[in-house]
Amino acid sequence: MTLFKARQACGFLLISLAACTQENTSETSSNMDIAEGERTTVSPDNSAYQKPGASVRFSHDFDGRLEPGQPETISLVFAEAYQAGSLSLSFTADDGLEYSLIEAGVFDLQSASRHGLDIELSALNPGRYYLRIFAEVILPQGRPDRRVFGLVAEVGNEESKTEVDSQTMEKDFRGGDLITMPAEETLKK
Amino acid sequence: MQINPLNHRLLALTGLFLLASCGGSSSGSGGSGTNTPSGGGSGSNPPSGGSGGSTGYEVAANFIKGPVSAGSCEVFEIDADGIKGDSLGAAGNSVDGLVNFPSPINYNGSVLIECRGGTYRDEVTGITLDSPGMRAVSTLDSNKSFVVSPLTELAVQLAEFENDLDSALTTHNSTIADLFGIQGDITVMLPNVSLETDVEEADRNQYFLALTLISQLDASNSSASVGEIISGIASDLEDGDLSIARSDEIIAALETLSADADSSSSQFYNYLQSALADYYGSEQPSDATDDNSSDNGDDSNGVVTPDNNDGGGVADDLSAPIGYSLSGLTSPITAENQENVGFNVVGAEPGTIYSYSIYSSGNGDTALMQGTDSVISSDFSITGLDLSGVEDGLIEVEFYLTDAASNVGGVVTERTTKYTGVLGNVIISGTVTFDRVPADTTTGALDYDNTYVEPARGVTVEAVNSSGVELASTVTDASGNYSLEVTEYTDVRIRVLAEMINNQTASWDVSIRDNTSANAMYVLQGGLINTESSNSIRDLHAASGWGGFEYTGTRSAAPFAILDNIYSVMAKFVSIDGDIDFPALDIFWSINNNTADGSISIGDIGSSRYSNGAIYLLGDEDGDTDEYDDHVVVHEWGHYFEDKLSRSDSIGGPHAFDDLLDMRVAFSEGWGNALSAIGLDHPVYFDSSGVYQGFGFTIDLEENDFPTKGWYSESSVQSIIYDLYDSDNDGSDTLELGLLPIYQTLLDPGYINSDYLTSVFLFLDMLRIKVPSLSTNIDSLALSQAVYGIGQDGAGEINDGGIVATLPVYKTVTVDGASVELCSSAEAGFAQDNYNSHGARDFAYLKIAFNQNLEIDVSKVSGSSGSDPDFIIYTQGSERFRSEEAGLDQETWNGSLTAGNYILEVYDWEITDNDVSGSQASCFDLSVTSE
Repeated sequence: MTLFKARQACGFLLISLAACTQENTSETSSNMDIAEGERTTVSPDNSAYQKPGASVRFSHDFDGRLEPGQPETISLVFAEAYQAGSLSLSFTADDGLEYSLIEAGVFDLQSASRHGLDIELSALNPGRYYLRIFAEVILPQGRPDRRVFGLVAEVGNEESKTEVDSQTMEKDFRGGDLITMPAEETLKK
Repeated sequence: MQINPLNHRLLALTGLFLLASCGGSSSGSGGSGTNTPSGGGSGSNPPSGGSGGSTGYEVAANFIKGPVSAGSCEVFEIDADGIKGDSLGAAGNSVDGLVNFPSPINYNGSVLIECRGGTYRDEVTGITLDSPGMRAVSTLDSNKSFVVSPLTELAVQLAEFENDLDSALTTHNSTIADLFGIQGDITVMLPNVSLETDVEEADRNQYFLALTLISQLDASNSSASVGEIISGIASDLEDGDLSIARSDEIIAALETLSADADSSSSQFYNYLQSALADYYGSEQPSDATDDNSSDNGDDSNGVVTPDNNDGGGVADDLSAPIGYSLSGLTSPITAENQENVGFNVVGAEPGTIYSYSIYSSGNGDTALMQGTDSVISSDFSITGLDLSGVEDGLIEVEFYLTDAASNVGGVVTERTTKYTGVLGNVIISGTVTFDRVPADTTTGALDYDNTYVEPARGVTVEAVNSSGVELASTVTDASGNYSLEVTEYTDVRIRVLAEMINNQTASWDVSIRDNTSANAMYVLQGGLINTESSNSIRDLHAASGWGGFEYTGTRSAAPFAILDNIYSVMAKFVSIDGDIDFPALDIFWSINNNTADGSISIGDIGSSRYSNGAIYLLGDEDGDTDEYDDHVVVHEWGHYFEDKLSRSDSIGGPHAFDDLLDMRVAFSEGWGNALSAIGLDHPVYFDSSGVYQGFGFTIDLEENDFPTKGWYSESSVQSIIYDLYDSDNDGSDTLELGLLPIYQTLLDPGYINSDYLTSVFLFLDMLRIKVPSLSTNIDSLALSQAVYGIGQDGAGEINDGGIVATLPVYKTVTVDGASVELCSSAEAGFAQDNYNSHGARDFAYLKIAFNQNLEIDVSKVSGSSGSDPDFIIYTQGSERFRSEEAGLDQETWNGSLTAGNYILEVYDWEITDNDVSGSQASCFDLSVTSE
């Protein structure tokens, strides 16, 4: 009997912690107890073929939720496999999501392979906000490598979803959904 | 382009903003400013210091939406052709909107001031927002403090329509000032953000009101940014006419502002009331002192124009009905339907009286038919009109409403054609194109300044009627051309589907869809236009939507840019195999697709990637967009190719050019990188990201010298494959095989059905069979990348990547034979993430002579405490069994295996997937015992 499904849900897709079903958890109780008891960070989805980028992996301990007006400090971890160079982290956030760094996001890659950074997040109003994290590695010969990471902060109780302007959505006469985009049209007789 | 001063809507709004007469006269040159350049100033706020002339002028800029903080500005000269020229100076980090340029500018003439970045506090919502980029055109002829605002940006956009920035100076700065009732120079007069009551401040108050109104327009339109609001107004004004819809939006915004303003003491409130009174002709509030009478009256079109003078003071209803339109006029009118012609009315005000007249080109100005009646509901139809007695030709319906106070609304029209003969066909042809945004091949950043137009090749073009029903369909050729035959005198819309379908000898089916909108397909849509009786040309272009500092329009070009990359790479394969059948592929792209991991339906895709048979691409502006990152698109398509046409055993996951990777991942990613250069005929891989898409990185696939070389390196794999393909010989690269033998290798049954997992070893071994005469050259290429093993199993490999236990690549285990040692190491991976790193998973080859029941046991012999060994059993790359019990230091599986060859993948789950203890390596004895 394989336990693959349980591992797939709870091990590989760690970011979706809620996806661990009761059934799967019970099948792997001892293993998950170890994992849940000691795991401190959330890692990205490993199951897909992703695009290349800087050799930096990102994990964090943020559960994705904030209360309006309640700042929360979260820990970000950046692991890398470089022997030398520097890692610079910069951030942008959606309007309404405030962030402040406890320390500068610049690291010497010779000193360690794992770099932690605390950041305080807060938002006054309920909603869904994104924090974008730009990792730039400058190698000793000057070549830059980059990778962009993202975090979602759901503020408040109501989960908001991205909505598309309904005026741009149409039904194909065959029944399929279409998103119409304006053309620059030139007419000649 | 000249704004038509007679346009009634424009006049209406001009009157709406003529507040100076309400609040007193304006000096025209502005009063004292709130943002004084260093050293202070008054009037138009000249910077202090130097006297200009030969020593240069002191320059400052006031970057105002609300006052923008932390923005930056740059001044450019404007050349004799009215084109933006060289930079004259730059300054950053605005404080309360003010930027002082650090050095005098030694230039005299017209200049373009560009400001970008920073934040401002929105006047309407009170929220701090990112500022849109804005510009102004003005004259530098003395020490100056320029103002850069949404109004100056509007003037610049109007000037751009004429390809002459100087026209902002000669015409459009004044046009925009007039439109908003401002008398001073909008490029130097500071808006009065504090709305002082001093009558001398009236013109600057007026400037502020205009900016507030734009904020309200933004607040009222959740789907449009301030930048889009500005661009929308500019586009609307391009033809000299402010549309009815836009006028109504502005009036509604003004009314909203008025409703929200503090009526008791606010000067702002008084201004709003005066503005509305100017439009409606009745002053509010009731204690207004201006008693000038209104001069409302009908213009030549029977339209009531609002009071253009002042406060009015008339309490009667002088508001004409607005907001109604016609649709669905029978088209064409034929012999069959000429006795039952009709049309629809939408948005009529109940209680008003409607009137219509029908004219024919054959009858001149004499109405053929007229009708009038009361409006019962806002939407209704008029049907059963008998036009059988009317000559064939153009038919026009004119329609208007009259309210109870006898105010007459504007005339709206709808046209159709009557043709009672047998309808023939006409040809609609044209070219479909899109904007291609290239990248700077040094930095990888997108280079919007060099955007160029490319044909949309192989895409579906449809002619549809007003209901969206397809009338004809075709596919564009390699130049983007199309031709469709449709019935004459028919309302037809041309639309271009973001799909490529071919059912010829070679076949494919690729579409671009939005995973955040129910997987809807993107469609580029033209206007609904009557075909009339002659052939016509309709060229459709998909624009990037880039507005200079941000995307201000729909990013229509994106789906077609993605498709065109796929077209390019598919064409490579079709050229060597005319019978190739590409399985259907959906590519999901959205402006919502971002780098957060989560729900795909929201756009949290984490990375551009291939998963579950589909490609997902990023589109998050100022984060990471990939629609113009050609190599990223083709890289992901390479995974699709492996998955659907060849074979991939890759376990996926994050990866980088210099990583030491699981050999299956290294081969798959290296193949994708090499294919991106092959398919696009460009060896420099690039990936843009960041604010303004202004950052990125590049990798030259012709580069063969990098830190990580070997069978576990995607860089080595990409280097080998690209050097096999290309015609440039460098060093050990003496081959120029082209794509054919690579393609044949990847589709060879010996490759697809190999017992061994996909790797550079399997690929090169099969390639040597395809081109045996070049084996020596292939060996040389492999050796140059420190790949020493031969055969499908990499026998004889001596490069362990620093992890001794990884060799041999495959250990051999036999039934009832001695146990063999396999290891799982974190040495080449990342702290807490060794999922796909070199050495994290070890492999054994097992041959089963006959069907039998077996016990497979993996037990720890050395390494970290608390190990959790697991293993997977493969045949020909397909997973047959997986044993992942949570046992400590041991894993045992009992089951039956049929005769054949198997690969066992052994790993310590604590290292590959958990690694909470910081394990470095665990080694296990693998034994297979018959039962």
